[in-house]
Amino acid sequence: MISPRQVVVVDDSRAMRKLMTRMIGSMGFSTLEADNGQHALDVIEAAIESGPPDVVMADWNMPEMNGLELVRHLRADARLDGVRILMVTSESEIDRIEEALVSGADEYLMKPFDKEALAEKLVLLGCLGEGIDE
Amino acid sequence: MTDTARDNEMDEIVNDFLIESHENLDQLDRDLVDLERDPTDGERLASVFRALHTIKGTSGFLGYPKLQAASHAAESLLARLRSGELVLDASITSGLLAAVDAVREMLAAIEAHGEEGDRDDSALIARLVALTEGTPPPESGPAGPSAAWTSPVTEAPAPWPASTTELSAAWPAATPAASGAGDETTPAAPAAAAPEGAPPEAAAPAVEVPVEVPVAPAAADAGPAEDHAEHQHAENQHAENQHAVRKPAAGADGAEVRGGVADSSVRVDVTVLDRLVNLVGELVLARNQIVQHTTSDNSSAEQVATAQRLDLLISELQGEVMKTRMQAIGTVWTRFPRVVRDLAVTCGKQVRLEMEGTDTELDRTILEAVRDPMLHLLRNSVDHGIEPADVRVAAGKPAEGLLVLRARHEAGHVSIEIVDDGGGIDVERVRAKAIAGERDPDRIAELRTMSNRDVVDLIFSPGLSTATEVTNVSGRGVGMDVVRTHVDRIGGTIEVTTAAGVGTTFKIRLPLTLAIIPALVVNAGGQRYAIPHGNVVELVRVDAAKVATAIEVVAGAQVYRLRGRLLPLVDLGLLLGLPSPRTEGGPVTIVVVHIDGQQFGLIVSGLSDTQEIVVKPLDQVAANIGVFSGATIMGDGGVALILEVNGVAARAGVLTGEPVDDHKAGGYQADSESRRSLLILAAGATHRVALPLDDVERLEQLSAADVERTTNGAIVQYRGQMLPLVSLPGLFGENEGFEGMMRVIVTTITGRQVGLVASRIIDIVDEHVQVERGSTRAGLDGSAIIAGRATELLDVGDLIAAVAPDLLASADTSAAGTKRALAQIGSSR
Amino acid sequence: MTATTVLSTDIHQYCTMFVGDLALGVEIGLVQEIVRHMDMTPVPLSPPAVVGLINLRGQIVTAIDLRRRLGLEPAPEGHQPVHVVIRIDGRAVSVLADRIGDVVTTTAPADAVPDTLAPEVRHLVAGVHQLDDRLLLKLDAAAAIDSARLWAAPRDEQ
Repeated sequence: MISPRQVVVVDDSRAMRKLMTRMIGSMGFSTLEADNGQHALDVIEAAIESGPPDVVMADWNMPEMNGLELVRHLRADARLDGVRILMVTSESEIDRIEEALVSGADEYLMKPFDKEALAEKLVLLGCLGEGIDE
Repeated sequence: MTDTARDNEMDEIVNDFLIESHENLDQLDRDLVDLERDPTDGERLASVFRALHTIKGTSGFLGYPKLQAASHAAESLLARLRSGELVLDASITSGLLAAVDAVREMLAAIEAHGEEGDRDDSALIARLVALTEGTPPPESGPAGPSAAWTSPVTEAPAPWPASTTELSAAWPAATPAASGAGDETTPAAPAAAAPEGAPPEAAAPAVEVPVEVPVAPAAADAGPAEDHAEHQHAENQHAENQHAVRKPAAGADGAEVRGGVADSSVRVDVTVLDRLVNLVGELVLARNQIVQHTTSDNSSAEQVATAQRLDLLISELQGEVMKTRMQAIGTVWTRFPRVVRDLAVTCGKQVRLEMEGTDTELDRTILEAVRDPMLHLLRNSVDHGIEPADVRVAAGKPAEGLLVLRARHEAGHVSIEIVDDGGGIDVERVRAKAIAGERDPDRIAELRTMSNRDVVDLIFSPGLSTATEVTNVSGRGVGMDVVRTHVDRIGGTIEVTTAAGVGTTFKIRLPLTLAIIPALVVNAGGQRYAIPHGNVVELVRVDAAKVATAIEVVAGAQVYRLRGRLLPLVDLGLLLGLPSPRTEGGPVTIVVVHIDGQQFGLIVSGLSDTQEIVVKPLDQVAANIGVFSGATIMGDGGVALILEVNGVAARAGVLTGEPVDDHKAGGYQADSESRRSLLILAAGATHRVALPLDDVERLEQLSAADVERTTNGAIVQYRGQMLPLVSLPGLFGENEGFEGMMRVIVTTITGRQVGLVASRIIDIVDEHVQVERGSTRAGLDGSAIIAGRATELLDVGDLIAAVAPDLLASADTSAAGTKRALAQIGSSR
Repeated sequence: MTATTVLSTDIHQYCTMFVGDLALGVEIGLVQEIVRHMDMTPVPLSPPAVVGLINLRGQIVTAIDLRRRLGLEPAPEGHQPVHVVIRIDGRAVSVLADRIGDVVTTTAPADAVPDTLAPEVRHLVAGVHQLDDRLLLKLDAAAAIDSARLWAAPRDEQ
């Protein structure tokens, strides 16, 4: 069964989520949205029946549970081993990106970025284009 | 996707961005002001950081480079604060607030024109960078607020002035020259403060004032400390993470609150609410018809039951829908701390703003209308009311001034107080100013003798708005008269009380038009009237048998003895020109109401019930009557008028002008001019005397046959006690009048009852009394022309001291009035 | 009437109503709605022409007796007048008429108010239109509901 690949967009800004969703949607992904880390975990949990998402795209700085914590939680859950994590950062966090990568994030992307840059990262994560290996 | 669809989608995203950014900014203002007080509040700092971070991040995507640059500069500064490399101080706060303003302006421009506008934020960015680096700003100069107070402010088409003008002279502690401001103060915020009152669209471009920025201690050796700071940063972050995991519910309260609201509320367009209100109105009408049809005999029991249930549900629905229009006053106050803070910095003062009753709800239309007047008064208090720190300290006050904003529901109104602990208004300077601006000699004479209270009230008159002195903050602008106009326009009142050296209180009372209030519904003259619960003290039912003795007529006015006090009565039916609710030989129902601390009784024919009513405005024709504050729609769809208790009292003339609580402090000495109810008595054939009705406890008719003569004077047995009698005619050397049935006015002085024997009770009047001082007779406080006749004003304490000093000797003589009276007697003998 | 050939500014459209013997017209743009008779709550101490308040779908509207304003005899006992709700500058007030007539459209300019009319009537009429069968008096609606004039009415106009 072929179903569209799924991306969970995690950002506390509604406008940002819409922007991301728009970019990703235009690449043929389906999207779920969450406004912080905890909410993302809830969203993923609720959808786990139909399978884990392919990618979690997480903002760094969010209330309640930030992106780094989210990474740690995701990586602590064996059911989510196959989930690729793309951290979205800005300059102010870039010096801490190592921390996220060590904790289990797969890639990062610095704001602002365009659709091409995002597509590149998704290819790198094996979720887009020729690199799809399923 | 078509281009149009894409555009729509982008518009929507930009719109979302604007809405959430505005929310963030409002929170930011508050957080920054709070942070300045407590720079160690890490959660709040994180919240501030996040807000700017989000704006920066999104603006990058949406293609707003200037917005991105400004928010980035602020964010970088915040990052340093968050890491502990810098500590928030006044200059950093000012810099951040300036950035917030720039961001706000750009958002407004984007909202209005779709782009950031032609602007140059390089000065702002340089300033933020300098603050971030912990180095002095690139251009430092002596430019103070006066320099900054130039074109942008005057160009802004603000409906409200930056601040008040006219009475700077009246506040003794007028704003000092800004250059003399406190040493660590950064007078950088005038531009920020200026366009506050203006809608964001109209905001003037920010003026960046080069300022002396003190080097933050922690950043003094920023370079070498880099590694250490970085390490610390990680640790902080770690601690924060752990904290968040352990106690997820106890995050930054700002963020938490917002999260909570977001979870339990939705955004609804106000026009939708208005439409809902109208629809519910129509539903009520249809409901009424159904209820009417089903009460006829041809309906089944089920139909009737269903109609009743529908009836109840729709009433409830109506109430709930009306409540959706209510908003907490706190929503309007959100930005006030920021305004006060900026203004305080500009004036070189220290001011703390406290807000009480932020959850007091008001109809949103009223809330909107009162926003600017409140802002204006706040500015006024900071600018003119609160003294500079050195003046305060010299006066034995704390260096930091206190401004209190207080809102509460009160007697069917919402009252908002703006209280400062500043120097107070110099009444004589206001008087002098008013006289100086007056040409009419009669008016000048009037001003000279005007009571202090009335003089202070002059600050609201347009005549005083022509300022001769202009403070830096104020600039030139409209004044307090505009505040009053605005408050009047929405049917409110404003008054000011002030005490030299202690402070000034502005009190705005707003009607509850459109609001929902609990009310007592009464019947009179065949109609229903609603009395706001806030005005109702108690309900009294006088049994038919007791009516004759409990309710008496004194000089044509009905009074009721309620627990030893004489309560003036107003027959509601008669007052309204309707049949009296009293039936011959029947019981009497009295609603005891209060207004401004005074009480009176309303005679009604019956009580319906207590219910929450939706206050509707009255057309001007009906509002002009002055006794109705509005109308409401009853459960059956009928209309009931809401009584304006103040107006009822004024029409009936029952107000004594003095609160019940401290009526013992009465007399006439408070002012040379006073307005209160006076009991006018005949003393002998020619003399008239008056005493405040509040001093009267009872009116009795006692038989002269029961009078006993003792060495201390005449006494009579009264309610098991000995009541000393004082003859009023005797005061004037006339026959004492102890004969037949005597008119005795029972009064209490320093805890002892005394009976004043009068020849006749003439009238009760309620009028302005112009007191002429200088009565030579003991016991008299002066004289006045009342109802066209010269009337002596009785000072009971003085009188007793004069004619029966022994009475007072045994009593507590601590009352000031009594001491004064005794001293006076001593000298007059 | 062919509106297409006439400038719109020349068209007068009136909602007509009858009060006593008089036919009155109110510019149709001022008429918010017409409501059949409903119970009114009297307003004590109000000017005599103010007959009460009605609940118009949740809005409280003041009703003014046109007969009284025009110095006419009270309506016969039991007659139920009609509420013509006029809205001027956001203020809605009902004027009570005996009954409602048609909407009349005319392109003729209004004539001057004849001196033969009673002064009470003249005060509230802004012009007249001679129709085929009768004289239509153009009601000066703003004057009819003006608060100050209502308060002054007992002395000046009645």
